[in-house]
Amino acid sequence: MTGTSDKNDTLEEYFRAMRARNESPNDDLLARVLADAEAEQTRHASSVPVMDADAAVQIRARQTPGFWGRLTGGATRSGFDFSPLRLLGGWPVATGFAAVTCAGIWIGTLPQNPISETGLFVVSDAGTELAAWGDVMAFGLTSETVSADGTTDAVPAEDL
Amino acid sequence: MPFDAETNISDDVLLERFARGDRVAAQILTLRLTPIVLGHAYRLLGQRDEAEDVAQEAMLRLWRMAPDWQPGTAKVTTWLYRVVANLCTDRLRRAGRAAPLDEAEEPADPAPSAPDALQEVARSRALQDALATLPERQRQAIVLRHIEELGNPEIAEIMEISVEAVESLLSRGKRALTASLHHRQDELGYLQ
Repeated sequence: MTGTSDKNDTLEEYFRAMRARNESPNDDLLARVLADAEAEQTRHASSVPVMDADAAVQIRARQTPGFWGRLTGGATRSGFDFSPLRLLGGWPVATGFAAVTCAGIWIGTLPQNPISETGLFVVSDAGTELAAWGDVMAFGLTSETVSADGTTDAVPAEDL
Repeated sequence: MPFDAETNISDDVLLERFARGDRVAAQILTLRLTPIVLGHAYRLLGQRDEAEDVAQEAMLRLWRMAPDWQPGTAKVTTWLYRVVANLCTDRLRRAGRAAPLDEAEEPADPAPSAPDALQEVARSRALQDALATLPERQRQAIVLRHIEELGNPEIAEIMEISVEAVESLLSRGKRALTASLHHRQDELGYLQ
């Protein structure tokens, strides 16, 4: 053990001697290193546009998706698109859904007896007959015929 | 503002400032890191002019890497030691030199009135010659541990090996150095 310790002590003397010898860079080397540093800073500054804080905020706001951005979404890193629109089947299917919805709303808001108000006027040789097609459709059997003299006759539906 | 006023700022912060175009940060980093890089390159190569080239190249790589540096992931000096070691290895292999210090330059003579300093220079030179006889990885581990005085975990990170592998390299390296220096003692008479 003592032998090993002596050897280590001797080695440590050599290490200490080498540590004491600093390899100081001369002025020429420092100047070259600094010139490289400044050249890199200049190169980097010319390749990256400098922006102020307001511009950065505007760009961030632009990059943040809004309602439509979130609705329409886009492919994720995994390659899948989980946006609501895409999950419905895309624009064509969504357009179909919208059309059906509008039609449903329109039908639902119409008056209770729309056909009678937009009934069909039938003019015959015997006079003007107002065929209330709405009633025909509603009751299936008869329609009212208004004769030229103002009287009203019931006409079986199958005769119309 | 004098450089000394900011010398307590970490390398990480200075590198970030450098990447933002701060010229003072560039100057502080140059003065702080170039001696470390140059010293390490010289101890691995043994030639001053080549060590200077390696130091300049290592620092250039640092400047180029600065915009992508992730603070807190590693020490800047750890990264630099690794770059210097790789650059030195490339140079030695290109030159086909297994022992890099065969043509080591003479250290500058100390003042004649300082015999202790003379002995220190002789010891340093003897060790430099002995290091040249070591395999490349042993030499690197010895220099990092006993000259740069880094801990084994950091050496393992620099050399990208396990701590156990570092300990093995150090143990074998020190045995080889002891044997090499033992032969030099007779030659250098006045050494212990």
